[in-house]
Amino acid sequence: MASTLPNSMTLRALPGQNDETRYFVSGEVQVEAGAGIGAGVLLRANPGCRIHIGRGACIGMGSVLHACGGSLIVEAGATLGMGVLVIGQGTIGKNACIGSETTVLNCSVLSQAVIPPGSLLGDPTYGFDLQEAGGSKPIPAEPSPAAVEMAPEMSPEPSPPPSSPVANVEKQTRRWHQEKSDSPETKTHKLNGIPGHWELDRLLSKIYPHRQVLSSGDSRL
Amino acid sequence: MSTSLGLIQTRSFPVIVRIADAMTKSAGVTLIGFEKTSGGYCTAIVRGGIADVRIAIEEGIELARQFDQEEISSLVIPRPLPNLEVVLPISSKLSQLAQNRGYSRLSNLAVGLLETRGFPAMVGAADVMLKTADVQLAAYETIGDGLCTAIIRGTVANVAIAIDAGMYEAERIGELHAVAVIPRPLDELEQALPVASCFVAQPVTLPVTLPQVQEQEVQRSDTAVERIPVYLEPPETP
Repeated sequence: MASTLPNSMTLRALPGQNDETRYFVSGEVQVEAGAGIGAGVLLRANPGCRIHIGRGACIGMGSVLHACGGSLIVEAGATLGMGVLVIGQGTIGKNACIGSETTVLNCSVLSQAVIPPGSLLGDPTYGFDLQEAGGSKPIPAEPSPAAVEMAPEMSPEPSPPPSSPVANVEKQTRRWHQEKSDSPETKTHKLNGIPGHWELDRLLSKIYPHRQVLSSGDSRL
Repeated sequence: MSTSLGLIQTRSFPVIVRIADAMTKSAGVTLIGFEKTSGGYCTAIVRGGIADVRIAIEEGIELARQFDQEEISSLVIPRPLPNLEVVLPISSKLSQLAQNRGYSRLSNLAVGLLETRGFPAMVGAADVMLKTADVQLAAYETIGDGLCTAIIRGTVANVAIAIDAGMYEAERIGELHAVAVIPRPLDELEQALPVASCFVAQPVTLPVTLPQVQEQEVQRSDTAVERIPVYLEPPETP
């Protein structure tokens, strides 16, 4: 499957990789014990919706899971790669593996399915109006060639045209994220502005030269 | 004669200590002490020749700007009148008095300061610092406006790691305000910093002019108490 990917596709440094030390939760979100959730992950359930992360599920760094119009369930043992975007309702089946930077729009993934990195699953014309009528419609786990072709357009830095629903959703998510970072919950940002913190960091990097690679004061939970 | 006077004020105790450290190392000035007026305002007082004081204060202002201190105020007086010195705590007599208070068992160690707004955050941070590295909590200092500073002593590597850990704990509990690490403080800075009484070893003083025979209790460091008769006058012969 990897051969279908364009060569230019590499794993980028995601926003939030360096700055955030934890994941963000909003709404009714249930995370079972044993689930691993990477740094900077955003789990957001709209009112009346819920997100359930099963036991042993693994969600990669910088992923965004946004439940709207129903429940979003990640079953036990499912693995989501880095920077995966899941919007809408649906179920990620047991032990499914979703490659990094994949976008899942309002659809389910069968259990044991393997999705290559950078795929686009679900209806690209997805919008908030459609989801009421549509409901959960599981599509084959293997993305169609068309879907794979669309992937590069989705993932790299040039954002999709502002009119597309994906761009709108992303923009909303980002705006919400910015609002969130102003709240007192994300205090770790403020540490960098504390008088003397910069000097301490410099001192520590002199005392422990290899420490910077590990943490640089950011990656603690 | 060190006649000129320099003052610099910021709104954080670690920052003013760090500034005082830089000032004493930048020019030939003597640190008299810190004046802590309430509301979080701390002033460092230095004395020395006018050229030294000017260099030191400029250095201090530059450093305070690096620390994003907005409300810096400073003053250089080339020749304060004696009346000023008598009334205000700006004369070096005070620091001489402080020198007589005993020998601190924590001298010649790096200093770490961690300031929080609120007491619980400081206590939590101090606890974590003591549990993280081989450091001693020397004292704590309050400067008003809810600002409390924990002062730790230890080797520089221990202090740096302890402050780093304490910072996150303080931020978790309450509000972290400032941190500072001074790898090698000068003697006068050490004397200006508060030290808890449990770390001060008081020298043993023996009274020498006594009119009559008296038994003097001598407290040895190994906690053994023995009675030594002291004869200052020859006993009268009958």
